[in-house]
Amino acid sequence: MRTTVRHTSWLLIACVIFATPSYAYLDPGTGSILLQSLLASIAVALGVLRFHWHSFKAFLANIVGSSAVKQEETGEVVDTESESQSGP
Amino acid sequence: MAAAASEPGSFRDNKGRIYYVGDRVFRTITLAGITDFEAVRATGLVDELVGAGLLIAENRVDRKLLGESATDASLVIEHPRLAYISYPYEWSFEALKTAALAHLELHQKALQKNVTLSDASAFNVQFRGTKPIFIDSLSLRMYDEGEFWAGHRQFCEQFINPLLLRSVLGVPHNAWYRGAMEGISAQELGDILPWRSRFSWNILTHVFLQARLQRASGSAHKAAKKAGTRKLAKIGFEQILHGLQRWISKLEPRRSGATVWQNYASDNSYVDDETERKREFVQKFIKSATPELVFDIGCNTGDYSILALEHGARRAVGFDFDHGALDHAFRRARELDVDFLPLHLDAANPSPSQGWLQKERQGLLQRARGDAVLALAVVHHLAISKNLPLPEVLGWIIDIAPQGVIEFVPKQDPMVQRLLSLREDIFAGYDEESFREAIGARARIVSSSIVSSNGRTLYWYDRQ
Repeated sequence: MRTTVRHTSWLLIACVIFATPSYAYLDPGTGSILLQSLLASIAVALGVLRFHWHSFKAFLANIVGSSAVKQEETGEVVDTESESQSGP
Repeated sequence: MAAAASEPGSFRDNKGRIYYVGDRVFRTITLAGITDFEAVRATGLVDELVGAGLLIAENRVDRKLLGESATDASLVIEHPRLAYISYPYEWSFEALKTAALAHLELHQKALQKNVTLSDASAFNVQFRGTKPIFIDSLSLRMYDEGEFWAGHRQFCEQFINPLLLRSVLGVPHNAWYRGAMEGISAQELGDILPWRSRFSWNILTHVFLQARLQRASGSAHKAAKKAGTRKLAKIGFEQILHGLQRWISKLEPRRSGATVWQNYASDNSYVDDETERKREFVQKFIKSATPELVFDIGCNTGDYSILALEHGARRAVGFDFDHGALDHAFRRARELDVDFLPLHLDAANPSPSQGWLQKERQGLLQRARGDAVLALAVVHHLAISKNLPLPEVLGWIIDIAPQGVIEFVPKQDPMVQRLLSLREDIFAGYDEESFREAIGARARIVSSSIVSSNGRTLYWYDRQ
């Protein structure tokens, strides 16, 4: 699933950057076209980032989670337990 | 039926043209435009936009109505006639901003139905009161996957850059826009904007970067050709429109203190019962005249236009030269939901007929006359501040509408004294007798009423 999303994102970005002709009765201006390409790329990139934000957060959680597991394994977690035991 | 006359400003698009027959407005659709025309209508977009009041209505009519003019037409449609056509260089900042947002809203709705706009001319937006309406139904065409926003540069030049002129620098767009007519280019604006404005992402990209990219590639044929082969993803297109909408909705005129007339209501030489007398007289006139369209010369923030609308006038178009007052009047009319459009006008230099063949955009009075005119507390400004001959000023006002109310402000009035305080009084002919004579030479004086203790007098004229 994640691979499909990644592929679609790259395809979208590719669509923005690469090329086939279009027409207009008004001269759109080269500056405007180049700018639109750039703005659209940024918009799409941000969109992709937003789309992947959840996976990114999950990824982060995963790292944090796995380090927590490591801590548990090394027995550092025991401290918290002893604290709670020393409570009233 | 009268012969069809073509609209001189409708020549750019080969897909059709506007014609007038008497009071009716027709649009031809040529062979070049018919496929797109039908395809766009099949999406249901036009019905939706017309229903929402965003697009001018249309009806298919018999081609014979246009006679010879319809020979190259595949189809003829009729549009309702708008009461008054105004131009972006006559709009206030608020009006231009409203038109820009309406344009973007329409384009976004269109894209949802796979339709786009072939241009972004500000002249295609008109106002009914303060409500914007898009009038060029032929610039809607089917969207081709991957195509660019053809009107982006035009949108910047005709909407964004004029708004930035006022928003960043505090300079109203009207004089420059009227001179250039096609708006303000990114290059020119970039040259005068302060360096710090580059910190705004939108200004940095739509003004400075666009100008830089244009400059860098504009002269090179290769670069232009290469740019022409690019594609724009629809999602990117939509994001650009959406981003501009969010940005423009937050633009405000740069505050440089209250403008001359914004505080007029609280800072003039009237006391309340004088204002009351003035309002009573105007009310009586409006009830008798019941005009379809009132022109309010020197409308300030719209007090008398709104009064006229409350007492039987159908719509009002106001004119003033003070930008702060106009912005205020526009917002006020929108809040009250009245059919009042305040426009920028320097009466000593009204909008001329200009553009291609000097017919593309019409002069102020070539476009429409009012059924009634109000010229309250304005003649002394023209006759004294601008040195315009009094009989000519009155002739100009009386020419605007067959009946109206004009205020005479005597020399001893504090407002006139203020105008004369730093200059020699060369206005020997400025008195009530000359005023009355000048009106009498052109119209019948129906009645007059002294409204202030120092002799301000309202004159009701009728030239029918």
